[in-house]
Amino acid sequence: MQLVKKSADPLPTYFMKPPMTTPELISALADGQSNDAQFAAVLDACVHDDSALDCWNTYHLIGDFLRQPADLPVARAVHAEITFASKVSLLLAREPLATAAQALAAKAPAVALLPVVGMLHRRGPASNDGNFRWKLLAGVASLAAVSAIAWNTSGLQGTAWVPQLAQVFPSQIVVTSPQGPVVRDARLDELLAAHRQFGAASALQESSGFLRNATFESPRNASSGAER
Amino acid sequence: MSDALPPSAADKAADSDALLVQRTVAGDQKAFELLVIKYQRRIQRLIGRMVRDVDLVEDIAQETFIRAYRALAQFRGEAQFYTWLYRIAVNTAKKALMDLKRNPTVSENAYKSDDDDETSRVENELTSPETPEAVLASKEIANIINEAMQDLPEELREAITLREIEGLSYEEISEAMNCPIGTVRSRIFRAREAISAKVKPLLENQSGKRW
Repeated sequence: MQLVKKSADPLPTYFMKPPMTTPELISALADGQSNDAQFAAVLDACVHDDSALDCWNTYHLIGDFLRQPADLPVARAVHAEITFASKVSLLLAREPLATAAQALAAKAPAVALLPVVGMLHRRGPASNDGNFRWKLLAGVASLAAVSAIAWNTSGLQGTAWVPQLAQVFPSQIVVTSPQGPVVRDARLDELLAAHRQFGAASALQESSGFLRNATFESPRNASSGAER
Repeated sequence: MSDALPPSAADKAADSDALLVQRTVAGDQKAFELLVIKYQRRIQRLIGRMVRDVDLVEDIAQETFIRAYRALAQFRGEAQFYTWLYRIAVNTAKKALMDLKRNPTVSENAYKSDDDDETSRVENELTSPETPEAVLASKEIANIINEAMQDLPEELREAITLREIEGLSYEEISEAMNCPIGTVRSRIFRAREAISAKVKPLLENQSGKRW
């Protein structure tokens, strides 16, 4: 609700201006007249209400028809426009969050080792990358942490307790490596796939990208050039 | 670009485009969908001037928006979003045409010649791939909108004409009509709602979809 000054009298009266409806907000946004809150409200409405998208489409359709020169034929039947945007939306839904993933992949290459107790590293390359001693120390520390957790929980479990190597979140997978259990976040696969797909895929062709699993390589394996 | 807005209103329109681009880059695909809806007609019309096959026009238009989405992180905002999208559409259409020329199994009628003169342009319109139903549907929409405009109260018709056809900003319309900007916003909205009310039943009949 907004307070609006009703008159210029010495003792002005105010009345409460009703909030803008969604179509009003959409109309304002179409003309670049929205503030941040109004813009967010429109996007939120478009997510939850198909009529908001229809409203956005209709307002722009009206403008296009009003501006269209008389001698330029419209290429498509209007009803096809409604389905065109839906088709593009379906194609976009198959795309990874392209811009965010691309920026992330450009700045922060995939981290090969994650702590065993599920924490996702979203920062840049670790300072100890490429330094085997630090990786070994991290692996030992991780194993010690797991052991401590297992020791603490062993008294709380029944006789059929099976050691839990890691607290695994739904998006994480535990893989075994010579240096110990490694928790790999499946979301990294998505980022890697996004990074690889940008160079090869198009809407008219199948993606030719492939996934390469992040692994923990020892210097012996790395120097021999062996790939996993 | 014959359907570009004059500079004053284009600045404001660019603001909303910039907001939508920012939201898309932040991970909101719905924001990009709004851009698709906004520019789909212009892009398809642009591609339709280069490519004759209607189905190919739609494919190229889809490819244009997908390419734009993928490249959005590199969009610096130095040019207007539509200018940038226009270039992607032209490049995508040219690439598709080159691919078609290399494919001997595709009919030559799928693409238009780059050096169409005035005579062949008229001939192309007569033999255009738009179905009679599509042309009729477009004419019906145009007629309904024109009739709705005539039925509007004078102040609403003037406001939406200054905005959509003359391309004035809200500030300029406010000055021209000697009324507050809030009143301008309200009049334009009410004009759009009045026209929408008459257009939507026709769109519903054409699409078979309930609004």
